[in-house]
Amino acid sequence: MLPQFIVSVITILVVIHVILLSCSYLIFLERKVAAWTQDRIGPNRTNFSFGLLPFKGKHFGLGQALADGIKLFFKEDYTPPQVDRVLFILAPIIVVIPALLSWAVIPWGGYYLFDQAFTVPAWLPLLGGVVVSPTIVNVTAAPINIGVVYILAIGSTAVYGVVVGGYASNNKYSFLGGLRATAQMLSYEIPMALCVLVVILTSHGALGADQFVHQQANGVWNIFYQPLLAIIFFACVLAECNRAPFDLAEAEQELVGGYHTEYSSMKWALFFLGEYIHMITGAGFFTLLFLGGWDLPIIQEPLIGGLGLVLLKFIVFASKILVLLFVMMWIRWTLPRFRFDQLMRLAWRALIPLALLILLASGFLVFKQHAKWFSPWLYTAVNIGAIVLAAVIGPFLPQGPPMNRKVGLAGSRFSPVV
Amino acid sequence: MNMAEKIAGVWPEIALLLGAALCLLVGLARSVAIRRFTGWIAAASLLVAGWIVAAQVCNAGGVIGLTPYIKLAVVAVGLILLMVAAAVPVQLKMTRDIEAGREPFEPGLVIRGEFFAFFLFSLTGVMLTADASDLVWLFLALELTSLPTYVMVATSRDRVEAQESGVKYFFLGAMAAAVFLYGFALIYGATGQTSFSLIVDAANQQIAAQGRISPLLTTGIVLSLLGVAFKIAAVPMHFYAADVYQGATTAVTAFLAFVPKTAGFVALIALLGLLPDGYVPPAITWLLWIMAALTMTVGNVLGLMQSNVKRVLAYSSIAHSGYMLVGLLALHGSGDALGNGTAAILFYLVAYGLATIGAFAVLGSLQARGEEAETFDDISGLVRTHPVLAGVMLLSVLSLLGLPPMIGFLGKIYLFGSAIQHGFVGLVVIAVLNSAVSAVYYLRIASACFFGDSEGHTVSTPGISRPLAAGIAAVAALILGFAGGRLVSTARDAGGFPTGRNDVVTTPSQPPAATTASR
Amino acid sequence: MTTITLAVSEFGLYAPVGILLLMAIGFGVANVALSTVLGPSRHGKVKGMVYESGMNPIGSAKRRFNVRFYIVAMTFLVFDVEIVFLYPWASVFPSLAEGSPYGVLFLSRMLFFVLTSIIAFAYAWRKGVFRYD
Repeated sequence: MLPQFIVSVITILVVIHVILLSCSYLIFLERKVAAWTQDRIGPNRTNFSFGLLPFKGKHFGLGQALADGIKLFFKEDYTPPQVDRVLFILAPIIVVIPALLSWAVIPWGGYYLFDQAFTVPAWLPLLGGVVVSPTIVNVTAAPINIGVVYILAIGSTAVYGVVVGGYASNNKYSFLGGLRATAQMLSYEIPMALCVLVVILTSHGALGADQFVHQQANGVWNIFYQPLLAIIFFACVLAECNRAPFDLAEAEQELVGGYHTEYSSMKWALFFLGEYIHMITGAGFFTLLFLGGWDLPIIQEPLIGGLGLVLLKFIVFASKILVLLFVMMWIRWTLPRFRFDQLMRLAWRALIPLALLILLASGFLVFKQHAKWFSPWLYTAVNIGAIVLAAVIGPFLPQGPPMNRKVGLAGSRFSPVV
Repeated sequence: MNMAEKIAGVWPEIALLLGAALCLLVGLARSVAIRRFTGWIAAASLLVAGWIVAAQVCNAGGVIGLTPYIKLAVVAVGLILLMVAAAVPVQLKMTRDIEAGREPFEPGLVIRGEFFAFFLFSLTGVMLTADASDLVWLFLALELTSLPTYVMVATSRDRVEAQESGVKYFFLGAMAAAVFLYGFALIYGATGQTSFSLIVDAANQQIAAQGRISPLLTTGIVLSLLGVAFKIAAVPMHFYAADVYQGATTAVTAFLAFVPKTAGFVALIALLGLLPDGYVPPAITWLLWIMAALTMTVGNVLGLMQSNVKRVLAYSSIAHSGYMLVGLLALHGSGDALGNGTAAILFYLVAYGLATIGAFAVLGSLQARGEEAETFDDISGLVRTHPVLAGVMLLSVLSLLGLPPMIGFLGKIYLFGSAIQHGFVGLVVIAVLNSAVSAVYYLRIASACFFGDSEGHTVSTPGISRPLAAGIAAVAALILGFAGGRLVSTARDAGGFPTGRNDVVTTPSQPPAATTASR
Repeated sequence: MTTITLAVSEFGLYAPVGILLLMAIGFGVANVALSTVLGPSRHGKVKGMVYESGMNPIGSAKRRFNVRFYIVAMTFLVFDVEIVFLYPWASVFPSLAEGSPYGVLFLSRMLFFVLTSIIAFAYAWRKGVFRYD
């Protein structure tokens, strides 16, 4: 109990700093990726001198991220007079809390072995002098038994901040952004939860986050068993983070920033911080479920070890997350934004039926898991079958009624007259 | 009682649910011909459910306990109600236009499938209420009964009054549900159990320890009774009845008059069954006494002042709830039909249902100036234009009044007889006086039909199903009144067992007293 | 699969979550407070106006919105509750022993449960709930 608590606290302290620091550099990376995609150069001049310190050179523009952060603190934090003051101030805090909470169960570094008893140094308050016996602990913030359900539960509260922000601003753009964000996050939570359900089902009913990693470390990564499911899950992660192409809530061109139109300074920055932390958590969740967590693909690494192994695993985990983050940015600067009807149609008419289909088929396969002909690769067959089925019957599905009939405005391209 | 046995008991409900699901889907078919099947699907699933109940009754060797009796009654009366309600979706302008091809087909605007699906959902709720052996189950079943009716009221008519009454019904219903849910919570708090039999055990323990049940349990039961009183339109919760009955289309009004009321009385019987044998706290006795007296009086007195036949029948429905509340006071009776309030209520539910559905079906078969017949003017002189319908109306009204050859007479005899055997003579005197008062407005309906001047603007609606249903209901009320022995003995069998404790019924070898002693 | 016994009991494991929650609240509040303290503050009539692309704002933003969002919320509830109920099932069903008599029962319960929501889904689809054009 005590060693686990100590390791948990250390993990929290390390990871929260890594995450918050890397967030600012993710924004830098985002700008760089955008520049490369658009054949520009991107930020490359700001160094670490900030006009005060005696540094020379350009440092590849790495000073940009810190400069941005410092700038935001000194901007005016303006609260417009007509807003709902309490909610307006609360909203950014509500955004940042679930973002900082939801990565708690991600097993960053596997297990750490206290191989011999040691005494907590006497100068520490409360715990000083306590003897800890040898034991194995999880290198994670909170190794609770509900594991992935915790991530889903905390992650789904992220919508409140956006909604409250949009409502409190008393601005039509913000209100629309908040509405859209609600509908979007609710809609994409269902396929996301279905995906997790299927992975739990096919991982022998595992719930704890470390169990998923074991099974993939001892076998094949889930992404090979469930390729379609992984794609669905990744799309849902994008939508839950409000990332492009699902960033309708803050669509700059139509909603002028959506729910954060009226925000400025650090309150505004907290919304973005929340989004980037959500990206990290979402990528971590994806890595955990589909990419084998801290597992290195070919090498059979030892399960339990000392500090070096933990660090190695942490680096492996972090690199996988970094690759996924790069993919997210790549997608953002490549794909155009969905229209609202396309967004909802994608969730309700494509992702949910496909996920339900895979759930039913996987349920049947699990039911037959003791049969002679059973092999986990049948899951892959199911996934490919689902893609083929969707491609074949998709065009023949009923299109449904036109709910809002288009009124042909004279002169418009819908007009039968002109 | 484990889950498998429970599932075996609810097969009729599952049949109805599947029928409802099928109605929902078929009701959205592109072709009108297929969409018209929804009514037949509803009828077929009712028949299947009835067949399953009948098979279960045969296996058990007779109608034992309240559950199969209610299920049989729901299937039988439900079929008549379905005949009355079959034409409701067609009365809507939007549906008519779409089916006649004047408007393009638009699944968002047709409500044919939904109407029949909600119809079946509500009947399923009544059946599940009869199955209930747990507070949670009871709550869910009651809400399943009520929720579809809110929608049926609001969508069954192209008039703003229907929507108004739907909203009114919904909000008051939600309030009532909150009240009885709070009561359930208090019952749970007082006993720590949600299962009926365990609650009874806990109450018996309280009696053994203190000589009375705890005030918290009494409060819980009182609140539950008050909340469920909404379903039966009894006095503190009767305000909605007249407006909702008037606002809804006539077929739906007939539905409202029978289905929620049956569910409500089944729930009341189950809730009073939570009390230990032969022990009713004075608070509950007085509550029921006052509720019964007020409900009868208010219903009948206000019924005198109405000019709208539907409102008259609404107040008559309130008054009849009052009569049945008299039976609730005599709940813990002997097996004899004349002393057993449960049997009397079960019998009276069918008697009242047949009569009131007959009356509403007659109203639904008529239309005046393009609207459904509602006022005394509309039915005035009915005997000259529609003699059969006038005859049916007369039979129904006489049965509601409780005149000798009709089934309503038998029902009142049993109700009041059981109450007298339990010593509630004063209440019975009030009830009889009320019956006499009610004669005024019932005979007013009859005299309007037979002696009024016909203005000739009342015509019958197209379709045979509603007059047929009216005829069936009235004839059944007449025949059962002459030869009701079978129904009476069935009701006695059904009511002769301790109610609301299904597991006691299935294992009669374990008397509750022995259970108490062993604990 | 390697079995690892962790010398931990369950409830105390939530203590780090509590610490994390405190840190998160502290981080959020500190940031909001700091930027209020550090930044300048000026007010003005036009500055206080609601941003509406440079036009003078018309009416309040708290107005009625499309009922579709309400329908989305209801449909979400139907599915979310269903999925929540399926989680315990999913964590128990795969660990049923070979030849367990409950296999068929578990599978058919799930199928019935999913079937109900598939009916709801098909109904909603046909009714046009998922069309947003």
